[in-house]
Amino acid sequence: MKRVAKVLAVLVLIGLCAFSCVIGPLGQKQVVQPHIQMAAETFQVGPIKVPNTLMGLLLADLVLIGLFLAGTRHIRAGRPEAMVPRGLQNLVEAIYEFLANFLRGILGERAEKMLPLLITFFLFILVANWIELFPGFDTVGLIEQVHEGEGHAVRAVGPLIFLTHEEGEYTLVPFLRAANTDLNVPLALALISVFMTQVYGVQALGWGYFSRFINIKALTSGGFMGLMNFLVGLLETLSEFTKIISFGFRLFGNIFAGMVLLLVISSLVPFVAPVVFYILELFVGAVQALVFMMLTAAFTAVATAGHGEHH
Amino acid sequence: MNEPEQKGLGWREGAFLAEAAAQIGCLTVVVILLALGAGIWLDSRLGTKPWFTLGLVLASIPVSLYMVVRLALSAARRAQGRESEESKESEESKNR
Repeated sequence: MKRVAKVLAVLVLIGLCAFSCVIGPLGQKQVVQPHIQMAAETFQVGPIKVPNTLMGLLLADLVLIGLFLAGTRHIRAGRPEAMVPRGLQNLVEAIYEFLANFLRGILGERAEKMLPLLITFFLFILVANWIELFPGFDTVGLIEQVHEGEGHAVRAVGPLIFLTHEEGEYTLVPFLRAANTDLNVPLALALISVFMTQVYGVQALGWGYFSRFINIKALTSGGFMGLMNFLVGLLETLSEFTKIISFGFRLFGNIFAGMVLLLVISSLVPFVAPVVFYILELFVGAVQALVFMMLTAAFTAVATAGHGEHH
Repeated sequence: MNEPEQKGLGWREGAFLAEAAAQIGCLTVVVILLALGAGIWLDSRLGTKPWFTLGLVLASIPVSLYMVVRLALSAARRAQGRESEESKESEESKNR
């Protein structure tokens, strides 16, 4: 049975390669220069304009939810076979165990409360980044007339329409684009991260947590050093806002740059060369997910430890 | 069996980890974008499209990976040095 599955997988791969080798040259003889746009492209669904990054985000959510629902179905049903994990359950448990142990090393006993949020950050960002590498992202969509800038001519092959390298008045609006290439998504994640850091800080230290930002006590009774402490508190307030910007732009910059890199390299050398960059993007996607989770954990550790405290 | 209670990072260690993670997170993209920009500029100037772009970007991958690994290792070394210094300090204060 396993042998049949392996043969089938190889046949599917060969079929996909053959399909792209035939379909590619059918569309055009030269590769189309990519149209790079920072804002998400939108397409009309009834009265609503839907950004293609929203479709990428929903797809990432579906994959993640589907994976974990399937992986935990024996546990949720309370079946005895859940005690000896197999297949997908093994994978899901291994991912959770690895991340949970890693975060316990950073946050200690404080980690338990924060694990769901931190692991969700990691998994969502990872899946949203990696899903961009699937065929169809940024390449399949609606052909629309260009209102501004350069466009391409089109060529129909059966029911399919391709952009060609010649100048014209059409452009492609892809159905799917990676969620993190839209600044709104990383910024939303950053806002959640910074807000939850404050929540965990208040839970750990009470309302006194805010004295690190506005330290009236130091100002009134601390003399010159008290004044300095008060000013440092103001700087710390500013740093909370800069965290939102740095979180958001780091993730957005890395993933958007990855998308641009893949488009540029695929247009310059369409065969073989992009493979190296796809591998690089796997690495970058994982590093960014890990960095986002680690930074949230580190800032939470700082917020919940209390000023000047160290173990 | 009860596992030993983990303390986790304190204020200083947390800030140190955040600094290292933030640097690592930005490094790859900066190196690769610089290589991409330089490659596109050189190709347009010299009419060698796509060789400089491809060559520089391909070369930037191992360079950026090497820099990430070096940065991570040096951060780990500094963290270990800091830990041992702190444990020395606490031993000295106990002896006093």
